[in-house]
Amino acid sequence: MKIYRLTNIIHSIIFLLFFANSQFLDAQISGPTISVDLKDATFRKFVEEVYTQTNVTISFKEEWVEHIKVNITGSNLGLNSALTQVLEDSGIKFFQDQSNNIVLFTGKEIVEQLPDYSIYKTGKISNSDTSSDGSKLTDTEKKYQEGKKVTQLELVTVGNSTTSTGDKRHIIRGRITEEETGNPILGATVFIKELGMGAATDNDGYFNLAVKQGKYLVVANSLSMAEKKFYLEVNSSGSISIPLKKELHNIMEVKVVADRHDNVTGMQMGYTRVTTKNIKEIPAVLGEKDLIKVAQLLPGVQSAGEGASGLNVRGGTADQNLFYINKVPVYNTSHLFGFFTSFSSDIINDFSLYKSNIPAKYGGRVSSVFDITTRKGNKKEFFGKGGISPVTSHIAVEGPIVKENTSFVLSYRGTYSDWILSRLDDVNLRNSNASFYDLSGSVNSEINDNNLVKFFAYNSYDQFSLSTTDDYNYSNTGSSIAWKHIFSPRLNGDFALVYSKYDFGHNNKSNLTEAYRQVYQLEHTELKSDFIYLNAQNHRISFGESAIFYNLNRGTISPFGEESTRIPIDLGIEKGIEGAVYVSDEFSISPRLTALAGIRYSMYTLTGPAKINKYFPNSPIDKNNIEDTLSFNANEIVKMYSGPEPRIALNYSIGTNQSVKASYNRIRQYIFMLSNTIAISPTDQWKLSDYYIKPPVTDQVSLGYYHDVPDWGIVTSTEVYGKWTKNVVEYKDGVDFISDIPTEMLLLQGNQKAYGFEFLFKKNTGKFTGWLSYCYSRSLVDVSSDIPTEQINYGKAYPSNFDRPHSVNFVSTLRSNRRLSLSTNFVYSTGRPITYPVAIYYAENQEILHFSERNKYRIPDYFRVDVSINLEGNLNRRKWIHSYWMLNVYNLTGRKNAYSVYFEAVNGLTEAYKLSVFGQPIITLSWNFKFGNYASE
Amino acid sequence: MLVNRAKKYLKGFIRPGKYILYVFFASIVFAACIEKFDPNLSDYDNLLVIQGSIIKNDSLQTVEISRSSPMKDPQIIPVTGCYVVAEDKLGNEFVYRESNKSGEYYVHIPEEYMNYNSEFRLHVVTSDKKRYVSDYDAILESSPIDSIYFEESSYQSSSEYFPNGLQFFADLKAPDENTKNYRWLLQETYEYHSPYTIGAIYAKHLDSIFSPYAAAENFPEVKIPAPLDTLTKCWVISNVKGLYSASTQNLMTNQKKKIPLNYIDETNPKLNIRYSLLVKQYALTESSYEYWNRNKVESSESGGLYQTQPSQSKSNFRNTEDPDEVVLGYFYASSYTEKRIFYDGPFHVPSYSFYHCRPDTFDVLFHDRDFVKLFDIDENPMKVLWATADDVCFNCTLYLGTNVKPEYW
Repeated sequence: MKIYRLTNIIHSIIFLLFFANSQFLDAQISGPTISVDLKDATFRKFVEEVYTQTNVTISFKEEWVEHIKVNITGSNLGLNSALTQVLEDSGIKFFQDQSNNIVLFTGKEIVEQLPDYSIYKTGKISNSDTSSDGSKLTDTEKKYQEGKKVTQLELVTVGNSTTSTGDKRHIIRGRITEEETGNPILGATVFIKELGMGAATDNDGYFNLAVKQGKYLVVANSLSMAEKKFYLEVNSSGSISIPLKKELHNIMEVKVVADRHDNVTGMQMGYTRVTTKNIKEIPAVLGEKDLIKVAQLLPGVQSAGEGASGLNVRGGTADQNLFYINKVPVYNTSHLFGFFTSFSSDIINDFSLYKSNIPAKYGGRVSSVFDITTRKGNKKEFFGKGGISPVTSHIAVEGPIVKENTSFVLSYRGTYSDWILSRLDDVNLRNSNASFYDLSGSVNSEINDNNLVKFFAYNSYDQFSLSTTDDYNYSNTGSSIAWKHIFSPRLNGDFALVYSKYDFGHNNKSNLTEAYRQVYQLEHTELKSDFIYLNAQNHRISFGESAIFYNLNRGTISPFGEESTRIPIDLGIEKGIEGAVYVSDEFSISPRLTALAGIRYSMYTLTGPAKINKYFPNSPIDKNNIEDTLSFNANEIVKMYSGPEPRIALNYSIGTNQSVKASYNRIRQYIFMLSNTIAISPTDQWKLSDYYIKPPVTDQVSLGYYHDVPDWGIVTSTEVYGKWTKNVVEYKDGVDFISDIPTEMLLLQGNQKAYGFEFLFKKNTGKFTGWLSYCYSRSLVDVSSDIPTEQINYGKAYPSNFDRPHSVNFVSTLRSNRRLSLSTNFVYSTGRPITYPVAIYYAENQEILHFSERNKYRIPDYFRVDVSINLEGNLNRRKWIHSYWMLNVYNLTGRKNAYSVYFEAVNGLTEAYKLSVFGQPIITLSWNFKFGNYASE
Repeated sequence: MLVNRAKKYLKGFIRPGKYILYVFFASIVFAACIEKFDPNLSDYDNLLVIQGSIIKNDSLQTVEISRSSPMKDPQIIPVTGCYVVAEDKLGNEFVYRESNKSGEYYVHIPEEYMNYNSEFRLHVVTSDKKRYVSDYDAILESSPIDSIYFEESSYQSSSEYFPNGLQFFADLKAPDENTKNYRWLLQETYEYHSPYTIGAIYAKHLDSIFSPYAAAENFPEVKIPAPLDTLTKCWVISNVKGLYSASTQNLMTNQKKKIPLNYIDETNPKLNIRYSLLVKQYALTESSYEYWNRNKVESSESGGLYQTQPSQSKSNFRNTEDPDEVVLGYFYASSYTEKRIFYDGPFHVPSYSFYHCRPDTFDVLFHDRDFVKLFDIDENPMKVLWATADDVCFNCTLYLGTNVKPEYW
């Protein structure tokens, strides 16, 4: 309901004068006309009618018109007279501006024409014509005069207007940048009011529109940027540049969706974009700003437990999510086993989360894609920021290398948690240590208007030694080089070469004889190109390809220490190629109906060398049933899998601010994680699909209803989905991956069914912002087989570990003024499923528990309240350093939320124990600073 | 307090070396906490449990048949009236008899049938005519125990923490051709003393104090041991709870060092005087090892998210007519070797085991007993100050053990 543009009347308010002028209404008779037949209708209905027929917006306050019953019938009624009739006896007056938009008001009348400036001269209001010399205007008077001017919208003309091009569509290629830094703004939107169509910018700030010749009112929007409106006159194809200004007073703004048109008019479903800036105030564990943790507050995103690494998106396992940071896939996203995310939020600009209707350009993980983009680096001046919290300190700097053209950004975060350990009086803990860091940098260069080159490198490292028994270390290393080339206004392409490596090492020293060192490494090399082509009929066609070369060294287990006699194991190398081509087309079927039809075709090949056991047919896969061994030479094809992945979506708009969308997706996944633990553990390993292990395939359908109220900054979405995954990988009871048993003997494959309902209500503007979400979701797995040893849970379906049907999140920020804000989270979810013992028996005097069917019970429900207070230093623009303090209280009520429930026999009596990770409020104070221009964040 | 508990908890991770350390970090900084919890386990699977073994070294083989009990009321629910037969691969059958202990069945299998690599299985027919049969399991030859020893160390499980105590270990040094899978059953013996020797007897009805022997002569109801200190030294022999197993399947040789056995914390009075551990090393087949090791792993899971799904240690019994019936328990065959080790206490400071033996001076205590045992608490040999205490403080046989000295002591 865009009609209620209260914000628009703000500058009109100064037109309010203090005496009546009943004359001007009569002057407006020759306005637009309407045909209506309303009986006892609400005023709002009338307003909608007016808008539909005349495009005239009427601004008013809801409470003024609540009681008005509209009874009006007739055709070609003058809008003014109709409105006068409607408002008769209501005491409400109205005013129509130059663009025919109408503002209602009560009380004092409005004059449309300002009298001369002199009216304030004596400090008294007067209507006298006595004018004085304009050169002696006071400041107040100047401002007053300024206000008198009608806002002049800039006119941007593309092409020569002399020739008519009729119905032919022209391609307008545009770029939206920050006026101050020259950096491109991604996810910004342009919207053509007249056509009800728009586009969003890509990662480099570009967008394309296909429009017929004409003059349009264009609105460009981006998060934290001042909205920009201008007229665009299109006569031929061409390009435009739209610089947006920072909206300074909105520094504290929290918006989760970048663009208010996206929610309703975009094709996205199950999509959320979160920017680092917008999560600044959201309370976090230890005061560490963390996008991934914020993602868990969104509907449909869950985790197995507090602080656990890995996310479960719409009932999928944690390895079904693909994390891209500037196109570099990150295979382990956690620091300290899940307490923090392995990239510093200093360098992150935003992330987009796709839960359904995943664009055809993405593939390879069946549940979701987290596409993280980093900051581009200020092209005009140097700027830095950093912070200190009890656990980490972090810093980032950015600036130009070649002014206006090439910029860099560098960030580092490191921990100093060791001091905490070393102060403990316990020997075991004092001998433990933990550390991590992450380091990333990027260089962006705009070679010219048509070529953009981006380089990015990333490294994260974790090291953890626990007493004398275990050492762990793992690291992510990656880099990408991307080139964007604009072939023509209609066609642009992105080319990228990506490399990512994940290393893991573990020393187990718990028994000298058995001590071992385990290492493994996964290398991912990817070549990809993505094109966007906008044809004249406004078909937006994306196409491209990608080829991933996996080099998975499943690693070795070797004796550690002189006394160890561990048998060395070499799990061998797996090489796989995952290729994909895709094409998708977004087009309008009718003005209200937009469709997205896409298809991705993915192909996976596992190549040799390999030795594969052949088992007797129709018998369980175990070592007693090996019939033969197949040998494959290097580069010989061991196994191939391939298949189409349709991506289809429809968007039907109901009015301007409501839409209904539906989508169907299929995705295949060729790499998964070997994990037999409840949450992802650091020792879990990646594994490629192989001769026996088929790639998981997911089909997802979703249906959603979206409704925005832009003027109140409200965005809502309601979605239902159903997801069917086959070939999900589950693990036989009690298997051990630290062995040379072929994985097919350890694994079973089954089906996963997930369905749910998600509701999100967000308020993006005003003093009070935030969101409320509710999600109902189920996730069930069944692994059945005719052979009892190849079943899990006796072949019956069971809830997955993260099946938490109800979850409610309320996240809010209240800004009392520009320096102080108060944020709160309320988080509730059903407890995760758990397997409890249902009987106890005795074998040779030992108590042994007999467990129920898998995940038949639940641990107690989870509830948590967090609060944070942000205090900004003074906002003086010229200060060289700006800082803010953040006081964070995590788990304010100190509720001992169950993390798990387990059973232990103490003195022969089996007791249940509840473990809570954060059993009391966690208070942290952190200090963050930025230097350089305040506004540049 | 919370922090201490957290640390206590954390250390639970260290010992088993499992992947639960995750909580480690959080815990130190912010006090993770563990508390008892009632999950309201009202569901109950009432299942048949058959637990039996054929051990080459033993002359009597036993089978225990019971039903599983509810979590809230753990107990052994014996099943009587079953027909139990052991069968070897040659078709020899050995029929069990019910013993005095309800639910227990026994048979003597002559030694000539119990050779290494002989395979046995068990048939059970319950009184309601349900038939169960186990898989075959083979008697494997155990290997000599290389050494048993102990070290001072701390101990933690997820809910217990002891700063110091004795940790016992076994070293396995088996010939490569022997089995790689072992299980240890432990029997402990320790000596303890009642703190007081009877010095006199107070006869209430006469309000007089008698010497012990005089009292014994005069009053038939007064029983005085001879010599007087025979009731102060006692020995307890008991099986150690806990599952101890190890395998050398992953190792190049059939040898493994420092296999952890039981732990006794410093406050345990078992270590006060003398402690002895008899370790029996059972050779297991791979499938039997799997069963016992599974139970061991399950019983030491401590609640982190990095623990695995609880999984059943699968029985090798099945109902011959109804394969879907879940049966619990296991049948295995084995042989063992054994070794005994002694520890002479006290462990640092002796811990006082008879906390309730605080002396009561005579005049403040008027027992409801006719005859009150007295002892002299005055350290000055020239003086006498009579006091009394509970009977158990004079008679160790009233506590846990017997005063019959074991032959190996």
